[in-house]
Amino acid sequence: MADLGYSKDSGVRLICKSANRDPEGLERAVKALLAEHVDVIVATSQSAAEAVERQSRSVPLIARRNFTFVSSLSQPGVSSSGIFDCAYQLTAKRMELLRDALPGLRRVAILFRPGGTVRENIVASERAARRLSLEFVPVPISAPSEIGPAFDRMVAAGVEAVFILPDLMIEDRIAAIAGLASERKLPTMAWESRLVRQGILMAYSCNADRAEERLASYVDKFLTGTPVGRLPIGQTTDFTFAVNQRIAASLGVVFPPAVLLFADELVE
Amino acid sequence: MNGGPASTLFRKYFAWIFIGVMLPLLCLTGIEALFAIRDRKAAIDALLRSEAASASGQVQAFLSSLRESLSSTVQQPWSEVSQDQHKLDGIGFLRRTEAAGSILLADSGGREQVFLSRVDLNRFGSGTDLNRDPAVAASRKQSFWFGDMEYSAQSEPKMKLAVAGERKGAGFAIAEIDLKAIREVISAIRIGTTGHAMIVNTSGQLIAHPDMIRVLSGNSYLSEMRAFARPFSEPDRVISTIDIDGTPVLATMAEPVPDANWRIFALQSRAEAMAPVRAMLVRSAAVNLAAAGMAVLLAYFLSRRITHPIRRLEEGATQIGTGQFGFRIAASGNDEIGRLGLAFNEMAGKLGDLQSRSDRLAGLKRFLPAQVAELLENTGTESALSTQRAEIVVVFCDLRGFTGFTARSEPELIMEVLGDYYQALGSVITRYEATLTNFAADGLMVLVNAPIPCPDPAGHALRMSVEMQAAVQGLLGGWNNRGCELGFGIGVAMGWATVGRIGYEGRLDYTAIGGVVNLASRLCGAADDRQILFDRSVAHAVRDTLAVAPAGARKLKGFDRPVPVFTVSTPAPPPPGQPTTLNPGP
Repeated sequence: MADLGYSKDSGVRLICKSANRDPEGLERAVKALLAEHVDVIVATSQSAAEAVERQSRSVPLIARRNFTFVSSLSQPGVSSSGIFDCAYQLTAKRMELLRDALPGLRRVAILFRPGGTVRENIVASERAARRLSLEFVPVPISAPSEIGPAFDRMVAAGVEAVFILPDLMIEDRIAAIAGLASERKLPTMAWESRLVRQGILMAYSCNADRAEERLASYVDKFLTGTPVGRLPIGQTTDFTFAVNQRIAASLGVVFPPAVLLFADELVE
Repeated sequence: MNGGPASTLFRKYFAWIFIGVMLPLLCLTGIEALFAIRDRKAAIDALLRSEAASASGQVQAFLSSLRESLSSTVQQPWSEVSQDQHKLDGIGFLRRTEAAGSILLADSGGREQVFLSRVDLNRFGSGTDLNRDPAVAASRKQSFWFGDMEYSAQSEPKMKLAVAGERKGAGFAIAEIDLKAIREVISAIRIGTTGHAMIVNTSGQLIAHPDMIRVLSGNSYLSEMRAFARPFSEPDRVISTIDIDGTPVLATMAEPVPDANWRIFALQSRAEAMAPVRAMLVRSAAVNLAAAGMAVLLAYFLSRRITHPIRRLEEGATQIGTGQFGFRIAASGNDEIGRLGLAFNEMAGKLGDLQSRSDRLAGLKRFLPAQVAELLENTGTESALSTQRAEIVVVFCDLRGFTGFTARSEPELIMEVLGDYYQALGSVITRYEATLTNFAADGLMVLVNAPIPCPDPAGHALRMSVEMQAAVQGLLGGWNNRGCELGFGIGVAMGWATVGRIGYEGRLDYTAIGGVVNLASRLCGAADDRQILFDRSVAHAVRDTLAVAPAGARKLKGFDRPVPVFTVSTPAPPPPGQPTTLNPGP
């Protein structure tokens, strides 16, 4: 917002609420924002956007999320706009990158927490796995305590890699999951490049920073008088493929040159 | 409102002075403004042209680097390179070209072999025949092809770019380019604070604009954009037009980008472009307003300075016309107006002097013959009228039986008789230059030797008396025929008396006081009709020139002893018009 010329004196108050990687916290954060009678809510993830919509359909929402429900991206006409992050397409792409990185890969575990819109992600993952001729093992976990047993199940099922679907609880425990995966010599693929720095082997996603910059320009447009429904929805065009070479080395994974060439971010 | 704002001369002078001050100033301001507008326009035109050229240059550089990068993937004949290498070439292209969303490599036969995408799943060796795809068809002909802009899912604008390898047997590369990179180039161009650049293709699609939302709006502005672009028939001409959001702008179009059907515009809002000129105009207006205020003051004071004395002169002339010679103008300054005021004051003073002299003359004429009065006036010897003791001859005359006549006659007849009577006596008195001091009804008192001395006053007085008697006697016949029953007698006495002016300002008479006056009056009363009685002093004085006959001594009222009186024995009138010459002085 500062880059767009806003300052403390612009008369715009920014209220930041964090879910602290807790689904309940997310609901509380949304409730607190609505209690402040904010003019517009910015949600930087699909789950945050959904949490807002569960509590209010009327508050203008600017989000980086899945916008497959609108009929026209250029004229959404609903109370939300923002950046369409192509998440489901990227789910398939992630699966493809996982396969390309691990030549000979045959069986993949899909780790997820049931509930919400994760279903669509599971469907996309399964469809991608099938197209890529991969076997898949859905591994749901509902609570942090289930992570350990889940890995036991994966090993028992003979999976060769773990494909992790986005979730707040999972993100909260991503270091533990990465640790367990390393222990079990399982390569991991996650949904956000920042997770790679926490021990995940690979992640492919849209560039979150750039997407959030673009959300700021939406807020600017909204504040200068354009209703949210009249703001055309943008699409992510910047993607980041991040690879953790330290983990790769510890797992004994040697990436094919094409994969390394494609990587935007190499974590040593 | 003398000389005030309402007077015509004031208004005239005010208007001319005001116009004289303001007109050159306004002309100057106008010329200055014209030049400022011209210079500003020239500067803005140059700025817009250079920004448009710069945008065009950057876009061309971007496109040629894209073309070069894409060409590098199809340098070798297709079959000489392994499939894996083709794949690496494609990934390398994506790596190098952030703006590329996908790349498709086709073999020399136009069949798809490699498809790499950042979002979609990759494809290898699909063998799809692309020969009918415009990208392949066109690039085969001209080695390089720009596709039309397409909106992916109606929002993000994308464009296809295709190259055909130059060497025999080389394949084709088709890349899908996100136009964001060009948008960033365009967005970085800032002309002032509101000015910007934009790219529109010939279909009216907005390819790049700093307002990303507008770019994402798909085909919503097609007709507006086409309308905007229509007047730009040739590059580098700066046109004053309206942006699609309704803002009046100055805009120019850059030289077209080779191969692409893009038109690059640089524009700036007219308000901002002309802001310095507007600021200058506002400043000039303020200066002119202040100058107008000063011109009003200047015109007011100058006009007043000129018209006020003129109004005072006018007023003075009016006052003098009504006889008020005391009017004076506050004349100051050594200029024409000051001198005119001084001259006016001098003139008023002289007129006043003239008037007072004329007034005095009128007063003198009441009791002095006109010629004597004028002589006195002209020579300024008014001192002759001052009070003094003088030896004078007093002549009294009146009509006998006048009281009875007035009692029994009509007023008209009385006045007619008196009119003839005074007419007759007046001409004689005037001729002898005697001093008529007063008259009441039929009685007259005339002085000789005062205030103007004359030689032989007694003789002069007697000769006058004889003529007066003759003149009245000439009338009496006619009057008595009408039954008036009147007579005329004269008494003359000579002696010392006090002479001088008596009365009050505006009604001063000259008179004599003393026993001689009384004596003459009594002698008149004693005289019969046709008789002239005079005293011893007169008789003594005229004994050599006139025949004097004693008439005995008479008892007169106010005199203890009888007074010897004389009369003229033989009337001896001198030739008319030859009275004793009158010498003023000594």
